[in-house]
Amino acid sequence: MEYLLEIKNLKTHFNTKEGIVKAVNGISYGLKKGETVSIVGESGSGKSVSVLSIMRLLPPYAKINGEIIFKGENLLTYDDKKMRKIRGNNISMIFQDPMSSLNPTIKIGQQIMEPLLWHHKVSKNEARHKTIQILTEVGIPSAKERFHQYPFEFSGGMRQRVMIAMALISEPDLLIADEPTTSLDVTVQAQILQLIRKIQEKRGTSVILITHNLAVATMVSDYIIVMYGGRIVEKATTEEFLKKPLHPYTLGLLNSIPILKSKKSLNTIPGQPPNLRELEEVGCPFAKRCGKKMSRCEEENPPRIELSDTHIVYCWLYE
Amino acid sequence: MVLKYIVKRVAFIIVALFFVSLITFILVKSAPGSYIETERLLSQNITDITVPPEVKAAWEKAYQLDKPEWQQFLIFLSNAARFEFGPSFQYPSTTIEKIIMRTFPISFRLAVMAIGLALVIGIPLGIIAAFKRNTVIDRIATLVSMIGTSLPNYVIAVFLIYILALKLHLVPSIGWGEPKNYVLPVLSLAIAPIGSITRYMRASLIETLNKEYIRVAWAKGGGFRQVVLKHALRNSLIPLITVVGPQLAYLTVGTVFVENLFNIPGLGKFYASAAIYRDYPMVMGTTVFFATIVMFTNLIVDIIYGILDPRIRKHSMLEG
Ligand SMILES: Nc1ncnc2c1ncn2[C@@H]1O[C@H](COP(=O)(O)OP(=O)(O)OP(=O)(O)O)[C@@H](O)[C@H]1O
Ligand SMILES: [Mg+2]
Repeated sequence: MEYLLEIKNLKTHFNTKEGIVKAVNGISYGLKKGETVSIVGESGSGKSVSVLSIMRLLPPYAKINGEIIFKGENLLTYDDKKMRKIRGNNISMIFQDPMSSLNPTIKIGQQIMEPLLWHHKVSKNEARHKTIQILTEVGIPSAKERFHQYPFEFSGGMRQRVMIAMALISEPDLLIADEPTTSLDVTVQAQILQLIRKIQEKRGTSVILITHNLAVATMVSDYIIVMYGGRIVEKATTEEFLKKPLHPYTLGLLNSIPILKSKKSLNTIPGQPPNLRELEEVGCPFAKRCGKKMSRCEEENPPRIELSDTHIVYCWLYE
Repeated sequence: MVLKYIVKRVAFIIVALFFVSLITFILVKSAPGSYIETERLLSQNITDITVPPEVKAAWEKAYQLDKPEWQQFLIFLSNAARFEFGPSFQYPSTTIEKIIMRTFPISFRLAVMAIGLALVIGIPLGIIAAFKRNTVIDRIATLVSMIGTSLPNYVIAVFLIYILALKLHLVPSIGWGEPKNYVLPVLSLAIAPIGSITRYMRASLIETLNKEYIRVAWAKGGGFRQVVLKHALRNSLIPLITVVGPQLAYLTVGTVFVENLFNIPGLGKFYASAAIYRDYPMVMGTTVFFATIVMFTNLIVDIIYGILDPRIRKHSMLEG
């Protein structure tokens, strides 16, 4: 099957006063229609920047290189006007903090129907009708009354439902959710994830889910991508990932998750995340913290090892 | 309820006005010089300021100045509560409230025009400065607003008279009654609020543009019109009201110098001459009137702010 989204050698660097921040350093992956991929990795590994590059929601001093093929066209060749037609229409995004993601002075209903009004020729009435329908669909009771309320009248979980409704109203092909549940209570987290899963199955939407939480990733996704220092270190189906994790960094991550481990105490990966300003162009970014480091790890880029069609690891250990 | 809140605020204003009256009264009573002496000195050019005692006694009786001071204060309070200040020393044939009613609209109109102009110039300037952050345009806007807020308006007025009237002959420097006479005083008054509105608008818009919901609006596919004009501008204009309201009040009060400079028959001019002549009833009446205006403007601003911000609007209703 054709890829809906194919990312080829994506590099995103920030030209700051203090130097170049190499946030994303040549990542590639493909996503088919209806698939969910989770991107996991420590803070600062470039997860958010990689998806913001797809949306082109980065400041002007961000330099994006590579290819982002969406429905057969390279989005990086799009001008701002063409890009606007993609955002909120073909690709929608949900952010981490539902408390600050809604405009405090505009009614919820109004905010949800904006993507519809901005991208399609629909009447206000149609838009309102559809908004109430989708509010109900995302599990907001008495949607008709809720339509006219303001964000401060909603709880965190309810606001994230509103954000999901807003992201889905124009029926996008791709939904990007950047840590959509991080700031929510554990019970609400599960509900929101189930909701995303349900809607995505019903509509055949593809999803990129960014999360810190490996348990969340394994629960909802078809594929898992592990990022470190702006690079992909391992990519696998969820099944392969659980059965046969390979990269030392992946193993470290799995070791630090209490749910997936029996009763032993938590092991965090020793050492610090890499400084993205001083990141070398060659060598494995994880080498400095890797317990299985070999001399070539810092001198040559790790090879791309295909263990199956779907399981790829970038590491000299598996050569 | 909103009503309860307003009642509370009004009660507070009344208490505050009582103290304003008391302090003004004490200051006025302890200030050196008296009207009949000053008047002889200033208007009649008589250097010997001693007034025959019987004349002075009759005059004091006419203005109830022979009563004990606490009584005078109570009389003033009860008059002020009814907005009946009686005749002033300088204008015995009319009343202070009549003078206020006649001259205040002139000062107020000047202030409104100046604020209007300041909004029309300051808001776009602030928006441009916010977008062209740290560019030449931004620096110029910052400089203009710094000059505007740091120079007193009479200095600006003198400068404007020199440039626009004396050098370029665009407008008359003196005279009253025609629209062109408004140009210089309104400009002089507008410069300071242009400065503060520009600065406030810039800061407020930059702050709003950094909000998460603005990023969400871009992510929804909004353009400049949707994101900046609809989402950001609206939210950065709401706090601007808290600046503009008090500015309007202070401008109305602060037209004193400009009115004297341009010889405009507004309340500010009468206020200044009342102070010079030791026309104490006029000073007191006008002070209390100005204080009332400033305090009620602030109250109105807060109410409008509440109406515009749904969080405050709904909460104050819920509080019951
Ligand atoms: N606008 C920017 N300007 C400069 N550097 C940036 C900018 N945005 C992100 N970065 C840097 O890029 C790196 C990657 O950031 P990113 O937000 O993608 O991390 P992340 O993996 O999403 O982390 P987290 O889990 O904490 O969200 C970080 O070092 C960050 O400081
Ligand atoms: Mg992030």
